Amino acid sequence: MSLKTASFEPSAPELRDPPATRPAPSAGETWRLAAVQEINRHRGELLAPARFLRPSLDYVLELEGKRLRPLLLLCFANLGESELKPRDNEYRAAAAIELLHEASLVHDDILDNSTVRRNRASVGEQFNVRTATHAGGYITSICLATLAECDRDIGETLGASLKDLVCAQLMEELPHPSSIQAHQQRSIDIMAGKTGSLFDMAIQIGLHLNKHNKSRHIPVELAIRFSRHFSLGFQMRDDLADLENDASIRKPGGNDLVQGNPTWPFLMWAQKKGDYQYAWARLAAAKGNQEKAQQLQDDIISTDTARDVRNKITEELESAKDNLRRTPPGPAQDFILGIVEKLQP
Amino acid sequence: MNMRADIEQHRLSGPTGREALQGLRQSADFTRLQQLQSPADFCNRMFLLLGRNLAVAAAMLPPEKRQEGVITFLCCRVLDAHEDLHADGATSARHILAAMEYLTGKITTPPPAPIYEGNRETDRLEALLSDRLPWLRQALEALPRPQQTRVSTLLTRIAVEMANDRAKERFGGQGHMEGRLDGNLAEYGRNVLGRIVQYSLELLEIDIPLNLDFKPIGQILQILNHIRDFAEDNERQQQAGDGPVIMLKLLLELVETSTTTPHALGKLHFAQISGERAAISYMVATGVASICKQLKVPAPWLAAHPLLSARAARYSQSFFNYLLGEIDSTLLALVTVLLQREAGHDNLPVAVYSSGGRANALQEAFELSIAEQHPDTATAIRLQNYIRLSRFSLAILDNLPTHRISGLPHNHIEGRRIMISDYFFAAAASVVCEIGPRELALFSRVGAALIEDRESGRGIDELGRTAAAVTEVVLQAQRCSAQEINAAVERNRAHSVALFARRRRRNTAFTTLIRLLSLLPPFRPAPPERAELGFTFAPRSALADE
Repeated sequence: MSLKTASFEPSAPELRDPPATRPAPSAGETWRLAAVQEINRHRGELLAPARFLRPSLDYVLELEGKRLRPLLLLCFANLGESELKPRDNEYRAAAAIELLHEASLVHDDILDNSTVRRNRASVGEQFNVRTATHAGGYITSICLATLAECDRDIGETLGASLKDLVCAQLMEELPHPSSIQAHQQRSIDIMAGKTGSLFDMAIQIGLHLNKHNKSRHIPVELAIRFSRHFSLGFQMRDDLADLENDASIRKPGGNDLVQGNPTWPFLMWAQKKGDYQYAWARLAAAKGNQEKAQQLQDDIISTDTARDVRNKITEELESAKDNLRRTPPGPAQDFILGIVEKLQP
Repeated sequence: MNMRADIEQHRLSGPTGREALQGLRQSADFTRLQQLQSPADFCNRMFLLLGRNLAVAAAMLPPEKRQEGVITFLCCRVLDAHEDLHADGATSARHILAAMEYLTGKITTPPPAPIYEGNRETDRLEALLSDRLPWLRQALEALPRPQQTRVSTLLTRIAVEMANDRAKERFGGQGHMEGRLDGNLAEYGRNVLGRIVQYSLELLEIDIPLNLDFKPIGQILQILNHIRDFAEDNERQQQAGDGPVIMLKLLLELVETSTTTPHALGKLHFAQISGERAAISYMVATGVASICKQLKVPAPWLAAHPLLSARAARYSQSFFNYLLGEIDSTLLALVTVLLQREAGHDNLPVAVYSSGGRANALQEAFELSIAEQHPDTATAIRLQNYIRLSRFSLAILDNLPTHRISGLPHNHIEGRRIMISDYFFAAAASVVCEIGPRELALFSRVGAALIEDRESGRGIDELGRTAAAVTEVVLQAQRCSAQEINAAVERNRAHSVALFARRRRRNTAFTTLIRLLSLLPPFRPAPPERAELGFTFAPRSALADE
């Protein structure tokens, strides 16, 4: 499936579940659907050799998602091309990066006690903790092997990125720092580690493949800056969706507050309140208490915090676009711009 | 005041064992120290007060090795004084280099001693020592030429590293600890303390196999130093930045680094009866005990009885290996427990993490011995690190619950345990990445197979997969033919399987003895007034002080 410059309509790719009736898809959307299909096929192939973990892996494979990271990888691997037509090893790498993300979610759900993921039981809830842990580890191993086989230069960043990811997950469980500034910094670090490291990985692998397959050198700093702003905007968007019970995240809204997670909207609300101790006591009380979580959620929504968060998201996404526009133009760049646009709250 | 005569008569070789043991409990008498007119007496006293446990270990060595060690240690402490006691990074860097140049005879005027007006004993001692720099230079010049060169080389290397580190602050604008946490903690630890560790092994005339890396010991010491400073700052409520995150990062770094050390120490060659082995055992035991003490975790019995460990290790390599095995398990358990504690889980049973895969020590030793044969020493070291980290990663996942998530208690520890295992896994992958993409692909597939084996109920590497993969990598590097590689892979796989079946029969004699001993009422000297840090042969980093 390819997408040529001339035929590309810069309409945003559909990131949410499609509605029951919808107009005929644009060229960008048609490409996305075909690319996702191809990514899914490769996901299945990568996990095909497994035997004892078969049921749990099949369950992971059934998991639907936006496939944002693999799509970004494919686009960065084809930046500057007049045609968006990924090669087979690019699809394999894209499938691996998506599976890596899914494996991290399987373990993260156990850490967070999350029994639901994307509107169905999480893997640890459907099977058991032991099997889910093994499934996550197995997938991660296979993905690393696949990525290392796709391009010889890819390996360099993989281990470090994985460490960042795990470190961020561990940071979430730490006792809280004593100031709102330290808390905000920690939240940014956690976002950079949990969300950013996988986006970084996808984008950098895409660039490696672009260099390897098409001999095109795109400054990696641009891509990294894009990734930082994009992932921050993306995570804030996710936090906001959770706060506002947006159906697009496909898990119960208000989940973050019940978990006691200091999300970006919470931190901005706390800053606005000017009473860190009070804000923190509210979040602590909300942890595990649906009613108190709902009250806190209402309080945060009733202030202008949501608007502030929206402004911050827009700011981050605009910065992401600025960096992206400095990369070689073409359908891949347009597609990524469409993804960014779609995240605007 | 003839330093040369002192050296020739071994007068400057540190305190005796008895004096050193008594010195563990003594605080410094500064008036007396300032009045001492004999350089040898002054240096011996300083060595005792600043070295603490090192002075005890040094007393187990022959005098001619001791005196060079005493002089080197004190010179390092002078550099450390200039590193830590000047507030301004640029001044500090300039004075570190000046002190090194004066000690090594490149300049004739010593830099002024740093001024310290606080109450911390070690800092006061270091400041006083820096004021007696000419005595140290005389002592260094009185050493035989080859020893002088060896000490001068060490001082030059570490001084440059320390000066660069302090000079960076001018640009980074960050404090000591935060700056290092941003990435160069490991590098600094390896290049300063790691070099001192290597020097110490050379001093002890212990052959250092090229395919083993001892610099991580320096990293461990550096991390411990930071943990100590962190705890002190915390007590004084002077902590900058996000304390829990700094501690987490330090502990993770400690986890990663500590995995390789016991194995490397176990590969050292000693004489049948060896004071050097005793000294190293003493330092290892006190080091582990001090980590436990700092982090408020009970120390293993052998670590809590370092003199007994040293005495037994003097006569028995088997006991030394046993001690290292115990330390090995303890480090893993310790760090894992601590990571849990950081999250508020205080009641974790340590035994969960010290069992499991660690029982397959014979199999692991076999894999490591194959890795050592890689023709490229850097790769040999990386392969060994990979094996250790990968095994730890799997061992942590032993006995995972078969409940669903909703069946777990609310404040369960399993998620965190899994994350710690994931960190080991990522660290292992990171090490293999440095070898190459082909190896990363190979070992990742081995890892996947090992995980599936676990799911099917098999033990860790029951089928000898790691040994087979390591054999393949080593023999390919040795440019063996495909036929030779295949034959060796199958042979080593079969051997590994056999070793798995045998498992390690724990040395029952030692185990029984130690169990019996641990039933006796505790025999230990009265606790020192101040907390001790075991590894003391280092500037500042692992010193016996508060």
